[in-house]
Amino acid sequence: MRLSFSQRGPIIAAAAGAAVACLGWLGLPNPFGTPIAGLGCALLGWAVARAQRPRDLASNGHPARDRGARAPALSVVQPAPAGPPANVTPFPTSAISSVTAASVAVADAPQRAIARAELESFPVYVDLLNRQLGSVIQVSEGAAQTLLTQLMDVDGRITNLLQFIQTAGNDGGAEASIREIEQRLSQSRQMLTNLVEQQRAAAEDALSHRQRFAEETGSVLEVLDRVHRVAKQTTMLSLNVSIEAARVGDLGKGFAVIGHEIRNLAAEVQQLAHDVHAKVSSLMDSVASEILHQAERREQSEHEAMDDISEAIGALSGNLGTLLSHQRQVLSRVEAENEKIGAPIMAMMGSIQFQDIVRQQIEQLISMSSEVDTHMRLVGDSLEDGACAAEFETLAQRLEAMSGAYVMENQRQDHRTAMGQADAGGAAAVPKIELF
Amino acid sequence: MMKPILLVDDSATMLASLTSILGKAGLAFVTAPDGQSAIDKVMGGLAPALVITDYHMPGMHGVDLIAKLRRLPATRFTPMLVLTTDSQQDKRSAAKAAGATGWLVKPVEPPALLQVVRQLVSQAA
Repeated sequence: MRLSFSQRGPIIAAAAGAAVACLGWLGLPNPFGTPIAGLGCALLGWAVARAQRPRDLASNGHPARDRGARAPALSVVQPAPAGPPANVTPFPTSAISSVTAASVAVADAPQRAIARAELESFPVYVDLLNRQLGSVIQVSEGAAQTLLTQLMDVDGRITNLLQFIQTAGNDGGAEASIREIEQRLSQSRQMLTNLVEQQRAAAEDALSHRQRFAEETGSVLEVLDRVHRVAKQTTMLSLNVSIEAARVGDLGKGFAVIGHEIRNLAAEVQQLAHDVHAKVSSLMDSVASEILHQAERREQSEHEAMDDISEAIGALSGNLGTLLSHQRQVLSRVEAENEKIGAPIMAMMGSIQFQDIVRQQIEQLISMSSEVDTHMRLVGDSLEDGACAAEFETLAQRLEAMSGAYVMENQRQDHRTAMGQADAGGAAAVPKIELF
Repeated sequence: MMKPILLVDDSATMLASLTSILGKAGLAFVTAPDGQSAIDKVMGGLAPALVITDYHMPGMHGVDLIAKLRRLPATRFTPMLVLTTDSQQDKRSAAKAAGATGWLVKPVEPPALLQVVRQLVSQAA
């Protein structure tokens, strides 16, 4: 089936209008600048295409199956006049006025009846469109709610997890245990220091003992020296006895023997004192040396043990410090990540507001389609009654009247662009947040 | 105990968005789906720290609500914000004349919203 330009025109207008409306709803740029203009074109084009279709099919030799009893009448339909009738006032915008003129161009009586019948079915399409748009609102609102619920669930889980980590790190957890261990290590280190002091005191005590032993031993040696001196004097005394005994002759022989024995006894005492002195001196040296040696060995051994313990405590304390520092770093990182995660989640919670904006825009479209519906009924009435199109409000006038209901500046801007109006300007200067 | 923030909007999505933002920031809130419900809550004893209302709502629009709340003792001096997609200056002026404290255009970014809310709540406290 081949269609002429006049036949294809309304269909193309309808298709283009629908495409523009879709582009507008999707937020994509389109030549009309607004989904509303596209919607108008789609509705009007669709209506004219529907009105023309039976005639087109008849002229091409294919009866319209869905036309029923009206189909035979279509065979006598003459082609529509090329231009609008003289009593039709064209709409001010080119896109809308051309489509409206096309619809009004089907002005002969049978055509008007058919066009009116088709226009009567227009509310069905409008109702369908409004229902679909309403469904879009409901679905998007439900989806937004679900998204937000899930987002809050994710946020809650992340918050709980981070709080658990922070609580485990701060309250009675590892840090407290490490603190306790550090405290005990400090006590152990203090005890070690005390022990070292005690050992030093013990070493000094041992030295003191050694000195006292040497002093006591020295006093023994002095006694032995006195014994030695007494023995020498005794020897001298015995010699004097022997001399005096010899001087008296035989009478002194007894004394001579006594003197001799005394001398021998003194010599023996002297020898004995000498031997004891030597042995005591030797014993004193040996004992003093042993005491000193033992004290030195003990001090060295204990010193080494202390060093090992001190080193171990130091290493343990260092490890605990590293552990504590690491834990603090983890907590600090957790807090930083918490803030980093919180910001985009918060931003997403705000971004969900787009659904409310879309809802209002769709509600505007629903109102607009209802206006177009009303207009199309009037157009249909005018076709049947032969009323002048200028007697009722033009579509452009209706759309212009609706512009007061726009809530967003971009809607107003799109309307001005679609209607070929000058940019009012100045709207961009209005701040998004204003405190009075 | 901190007074709640009264949120009035006919959009369930907006209420969900605002409550999640305020809740995450640790702020208390009460919601109302329309102006009359908000008035009923205030007359029922609610004394909010702040009122944030939508402009376009069925039954009663936001500026009317603010004007009526200004006549109630509990909200006579309460800061009130209009949060709307509408950005027309004449409506802002009407809101200001009715007693609104400020005007926010949707979508409002959470940090900016929280800054304004905290500022007004701290001033009112």
